[in-house]
Amino acid sequence: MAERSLLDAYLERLDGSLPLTDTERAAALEEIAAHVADATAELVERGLPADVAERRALSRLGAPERLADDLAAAHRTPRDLLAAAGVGLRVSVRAIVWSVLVTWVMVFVIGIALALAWAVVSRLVILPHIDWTAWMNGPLVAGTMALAAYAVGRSVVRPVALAAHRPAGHVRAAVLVAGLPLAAVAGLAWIDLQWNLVGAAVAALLPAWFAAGVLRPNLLPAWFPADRPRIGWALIAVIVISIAGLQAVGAPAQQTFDGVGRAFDPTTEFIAIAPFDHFEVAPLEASVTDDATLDPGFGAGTGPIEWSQRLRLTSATALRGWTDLHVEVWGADRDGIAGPLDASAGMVRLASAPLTVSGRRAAASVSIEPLPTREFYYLAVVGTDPDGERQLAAWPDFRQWTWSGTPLEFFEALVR
Amino acid sequence: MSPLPRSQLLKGTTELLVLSVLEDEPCHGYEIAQRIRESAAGLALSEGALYPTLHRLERRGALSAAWGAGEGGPRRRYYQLTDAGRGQLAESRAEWDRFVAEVGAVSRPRGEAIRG
Repeated sequence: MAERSLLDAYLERLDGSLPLTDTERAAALEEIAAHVADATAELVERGLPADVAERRALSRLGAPERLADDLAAAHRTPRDLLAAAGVGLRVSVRAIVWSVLVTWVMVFVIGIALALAWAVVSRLVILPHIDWTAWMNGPLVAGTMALAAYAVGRSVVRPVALAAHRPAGHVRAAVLVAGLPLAAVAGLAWIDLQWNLVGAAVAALLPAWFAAGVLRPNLLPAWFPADRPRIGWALIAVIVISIAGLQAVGAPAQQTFDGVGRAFDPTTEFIAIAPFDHFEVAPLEASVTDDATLDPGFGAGTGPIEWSQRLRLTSATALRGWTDLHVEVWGADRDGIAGPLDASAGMVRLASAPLTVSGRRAAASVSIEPLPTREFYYLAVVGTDPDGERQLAAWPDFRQWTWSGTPLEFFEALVR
Repeated sequence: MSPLPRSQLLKGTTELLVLSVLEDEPCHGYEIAQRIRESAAGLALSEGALYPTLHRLERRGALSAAWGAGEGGPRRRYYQLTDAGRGQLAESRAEWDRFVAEVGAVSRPRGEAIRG
């Protein structure tokens, strides 16, 4: 490996300390290099060995950091501080936008990959359900904010230093003084907005993340948060192509459930499922496997909705000993969701149909007459358990229903 | 007590020296340092202070700069006096002359006649 010359080392230190724009810095480095070459040549002519001559030429320029400070001072104007504040604001906003965008694109891409793997594995074995909703609303959002705080911290120092024509070391303290309170306020605002223990812990550390970005800018890869917008656009292209591809190869969804013995009391149980909008968007459409005809004006139209679905049990013995299994469809208008979902609150049992079980497969067909005011339809599988009690066998509940359709459908179901 | 260090005396005069060297023709940085050294061997201008001074004068509009071919080496940045720079040079010279006269008037031993 070729040994670096003294001049190269000097210029590298000068380059690292010079708070000038790229063009100004390149010009200054070239000018200093030419000066050293001239001085060295003259000293060599006078009889000094080349290395001694170069060392002496460099020593006449003084320490590179001092030269950098003096050159920067020569470029300062009274408006520099105002310009630096503006640059800091602009860079911060840009870093926040890009880091959030890149983080969420990464989350989406990773989610698609996991969903794909999950969909494949779930065709072989029944997997436990993971409720991603809490993560989406809590630590993931707070984590994204933390990454954004880090991104701002790491992105803002250099541009502000350049705009202020001051060394980065001098600017860091000012950036910390201005940014730490803002990061703390952002964290507290988020905690106030959406309380979640883990998320709150992450958000409370926003100032620390910001400080880490300022003081340790190399903890994350250089491309985060897409200093080069092309990377950001490429990630967005990935997400668009992923969606298009998954839609193109999409297959009909299937649902599976396990038998969970629970006392079935529609007047109270429907309250329990009220927050779950699993079937908010046309459940009959979402669960279609065959023989379904959907009314074009679903929820407010006329004519019967024919619904037929095949379900898969978690095991062949999940419903052993159960009798009188059937599917019930309940409807409610939008107002009914907010209050108790019993008959007095507008909850109506629209239809019931027997559920036939064969091995691990179950199937049911039902026809309902949509009511003009019904916007939400709920589905329950009920039966009489081996002890003779009427039980809820399956429920449109995240813990009991697992999607195994296209990866996108699965991912959508997870995050919904 | 040691006499006044020359570097301290030179500090305020770097701009005057640079502008003076550039009065006749454009020069690059090393040439400027060389000419100052050749004109007055005792005026060992700090080369580290030369480029900040050149950049400051350029930003102030007293100098303009352009890249030109070097003599068989890398290209050089040549500095040239602008009209504003000539005006500054004239003012600086007048100020320097007044300063020298005033300092001389005070520091010269009492009774010594000023020969004109």
